[in-house]
Amino acid sequence: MPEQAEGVVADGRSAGEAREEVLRVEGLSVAFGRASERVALHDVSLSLRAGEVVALVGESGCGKSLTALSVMGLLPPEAHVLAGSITVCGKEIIGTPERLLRRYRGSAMGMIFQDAMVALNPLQAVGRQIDEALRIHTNLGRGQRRDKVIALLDAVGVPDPTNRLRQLPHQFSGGLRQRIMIAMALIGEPRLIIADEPTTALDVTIQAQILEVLKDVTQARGTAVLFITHDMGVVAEVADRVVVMYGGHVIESADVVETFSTPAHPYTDALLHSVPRTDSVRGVDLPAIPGSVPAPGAAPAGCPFHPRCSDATQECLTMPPLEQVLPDHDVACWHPHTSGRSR
Amino acid sequence: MSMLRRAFASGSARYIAGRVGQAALQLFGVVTIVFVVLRLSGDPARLLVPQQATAEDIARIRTQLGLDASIWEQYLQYLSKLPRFDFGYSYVQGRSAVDLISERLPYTINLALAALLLSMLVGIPVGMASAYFRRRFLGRALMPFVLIGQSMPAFWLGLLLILFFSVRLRWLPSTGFDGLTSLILPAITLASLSMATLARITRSSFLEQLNADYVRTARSRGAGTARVLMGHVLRNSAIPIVTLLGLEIAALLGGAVITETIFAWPGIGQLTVQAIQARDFPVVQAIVIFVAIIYIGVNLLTDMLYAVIDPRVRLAGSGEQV
Ligand SMILES: Nc1ncnc2c1ncn2[C@@H]1O[C@H](COP(=O)(O)OP(=O)(O)OP(=O)(O)O)[C@@H](O)[C@H]1O
Ligand SMILES: [Mg+2]
Repeated sequence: MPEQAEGVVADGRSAGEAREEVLRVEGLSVAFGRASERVALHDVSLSLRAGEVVALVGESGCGKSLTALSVMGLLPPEAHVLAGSITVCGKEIIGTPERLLRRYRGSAMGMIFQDAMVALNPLQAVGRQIDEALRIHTNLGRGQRRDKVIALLDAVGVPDPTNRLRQLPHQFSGGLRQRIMIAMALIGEPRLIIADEPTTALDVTIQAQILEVLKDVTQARGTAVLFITHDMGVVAEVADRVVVMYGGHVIESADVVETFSTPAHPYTDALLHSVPRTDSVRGVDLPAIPGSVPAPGAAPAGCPFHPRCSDATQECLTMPPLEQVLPDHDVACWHPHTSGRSR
Repeated sequence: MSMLRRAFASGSARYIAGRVGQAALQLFGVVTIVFVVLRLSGDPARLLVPQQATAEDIARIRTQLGLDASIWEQYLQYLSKLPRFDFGYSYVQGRSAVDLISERLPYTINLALAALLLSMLVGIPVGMASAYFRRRFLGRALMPFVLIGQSMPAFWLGLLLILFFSVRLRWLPSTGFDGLTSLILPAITLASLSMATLARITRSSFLEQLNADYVRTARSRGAGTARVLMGHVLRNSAIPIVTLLGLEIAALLGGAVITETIFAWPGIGQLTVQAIQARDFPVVQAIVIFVAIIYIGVNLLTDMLYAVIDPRVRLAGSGEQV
């Protein structure tokens, strides 16, 4: 992994010149239940600048998708936002009426979902589905929209786009369907893309191609990407920065190189040691960390990770704040690893 | 229409030929069963003569009607005339059964279309709304009405409507056919059941689709309620709705016995009741064949519509993935 991580530095994307902030999530808390008793997101904060790729990582059930859906304003109706603020390109999302949110979705922000087979309408030609954001958000004529769709399909590597845009999703292979999803999310030229495990449903070789395409098109446009995954191998490939979540908390946030070289939180450390082998069965994580993620409402007192943590002490029964341990490196732990001793 | 053409252009000739052959066989079965069952039901000659008629009178009439021959002879004779669309003559009125049906058909079609339109225009939107607003008051408030509509018997609803709108308010005619206004009450009576059934099917089909992932994807592009419902969910939930609509159309065209009787509506339903009561075999047989043809035709049409709505139906197994 370290070689790949250095590759990211070499192409200079993480050399932090101050770019426009595209997404800021601050103190976001989300809960389920009648009395909001099952809190699923606790005080989540993160931010993305234009052109930046931030990986949001953590095991299944950590709250990654909920964070993403909060940003899109697409939380399921049974979820309530308890507190916090989300701004996309300076526009507040929380508390904004649906009517306005619709204007941002597809134009300011777009989302790529995990399984394109079910995420695409099975009975509508893919061209029309890609085109929909343009029909909603622009006044472009039919011909202009068609040209844009064809050009973008070409850019994401769909062969013979002119003919294939009339086809239905089931007529494409899994990899091509995911390329179509990418085109669909990008067609409105949003400043922010959220990709929720965009490659988890794919074979490893296809996965690499899709990541490549996603990187190419978003870099070319300076799109910020919030990339959700639980695969640390993928993180090393795509991310500039890494935000690690556990039990609905952000527990570490750092530059990708630092994350891999000196992970400060014991959970991040453990995640890195459980990197699934590239040939492992898809969707199956190696059970490298004993125990499991607490469900919302069932978290232990204090740091949610302490029951699984070998470094846990009495102190861990209160939740540590997210604090800077190194420049641009935040961690929420009473006993952070500071010397990179894990690797 | 281009969609229709595309759906049937590829290798469906054989499919259609197969379906037509199957339909002919079904029709033959229906004809035979009806023929036999009717003849087991009793002697029409007895109903045609006055009470005090002698045995000779009855025998003479049976000979006239050809009922003295063996059932086999009668059956073969009947079959031999069918290809010429000769369904025999009414025992009661002496006119050809085909004439009698075609005389009644326009009334039945009028009533059926009115009822169908009404139940679609009310049933589908009500089903859609109650599914979409399932968490709000509107969504919950609609379904009880649907249940009432579904459980109210036609004869009762029909009588209520007549009592209120014809007898008390004197707004609408209660019976017979006299211009468009006389269509209103029978159409409502006839539509109430299919309206309710349609609303329920639409609701359940929409509920299932509203939770589908592609709905969230559409919303992530900025699609609003109307776009999500009309542009995405409708087609995906159309197959159960179309299936039910097909059955409803066939049932409505076959004549609404109860509704037509209550409103003295001169349609096929009324003719059916009269013909059965008089043991008017040729007319009953002709009606049954007519209804069977409608069911078979509508079924064929719905099956074709499936392929238009969901092309995967047609492509299944052809491995057309690149
Ligand atoms: N609609 C819901 N109702 C109740 N609980 C929910 C709902 N959606 C999510 N949750 C809970 O919220 C927690 C976080 O879910 P989320 O989908 O964000 O996890 P995730 O990190 O995306 O995991 P995965 O890797 O499996 O996608 C989970 O424990 C989940 O059970
Ligand atoms: Mg998820």
